[in-house]
Amino acid sequence: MKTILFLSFLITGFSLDQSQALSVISTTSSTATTNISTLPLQYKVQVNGLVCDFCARALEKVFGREKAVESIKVDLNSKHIVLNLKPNQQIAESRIKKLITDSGYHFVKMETLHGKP
Amino acid sequence: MKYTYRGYMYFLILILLLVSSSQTRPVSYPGGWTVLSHNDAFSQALHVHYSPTAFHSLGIRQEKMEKDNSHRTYIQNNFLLKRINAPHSQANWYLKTGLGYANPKGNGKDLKEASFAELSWDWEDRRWFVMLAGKLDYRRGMPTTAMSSYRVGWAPYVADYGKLHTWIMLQADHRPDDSDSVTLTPLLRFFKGTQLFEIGYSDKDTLLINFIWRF
Repeated sequence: MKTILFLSFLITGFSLDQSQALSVISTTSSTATTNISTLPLQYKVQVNGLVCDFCARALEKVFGREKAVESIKVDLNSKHIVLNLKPNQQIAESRIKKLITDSGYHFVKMETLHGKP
Repeated sequence: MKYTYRGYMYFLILILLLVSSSQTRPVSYPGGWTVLSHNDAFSQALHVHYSPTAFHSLGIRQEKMEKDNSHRTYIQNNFLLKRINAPHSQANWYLKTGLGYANPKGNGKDLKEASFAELSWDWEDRRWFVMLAGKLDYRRGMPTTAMSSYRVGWAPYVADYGKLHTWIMLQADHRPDDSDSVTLTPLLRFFKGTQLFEIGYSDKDTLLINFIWRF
């Protein structure tokens, strides 16, 4: 009898753990899905002519003046800049292209990493 | 007429040679300020400029010339004539002009009109750097002089943005009017963020110290 009770406890316990674990996974997945859709926009822009810190600093300064931009990261290795926008903000591709061109560099292409395109 | 012809020929030669100066990037980003300090065998200069656009900067230049021991003050315009942005490199053509006066005796008296024009070309990627420059210098009462500068540089390592960049460079200056017309200056360039510092020592036993700060 004790053995039956012990086995029943183990099975029940395992079932509970499993269902709780699945519940957690489900919740996490649901939360992640929700967060992605409400994340601020993030653009990755490929730029030609980025060869030194002066170039990087120039783009930081120019995009830093844009109200919609929360932060900018310049990667001289990959020749990309990543623009992190403030919540509920967006910048048209034509505007980004103009800012880069007016700064003396060449806009190649851009993609939206997350957020609403 | 002969004088004009000579100046014209110098200008043509400069264009053909795509001559240069030792200042790097004389135009900043729109709304940017730059302070440049330049000291070598030929002059000591301080230049401050403002860039309303990425293609033009306007500033003031104070310079002491070793040649005639005069103090020069210029209003200087720098123009980015052309830039080629490639995926991994950049090439620039710059025109710099200065209009002002020379103070030959350093006492504020007997001021002479002075001006200069300089055309330069540079190319760089993150490992190599090449620059050629040519300059015409005028001061009333003295013949117009031409000079040219050439520089090659190599970076022993490639650093990320914000880290310390180091370059090993060799600069050659040609002053045709001087008896010993070529000066060679090996130098080191240290570059981090918005500050650039160069130090070198020429074969004429003169020190080169350049500094650039952007803000």
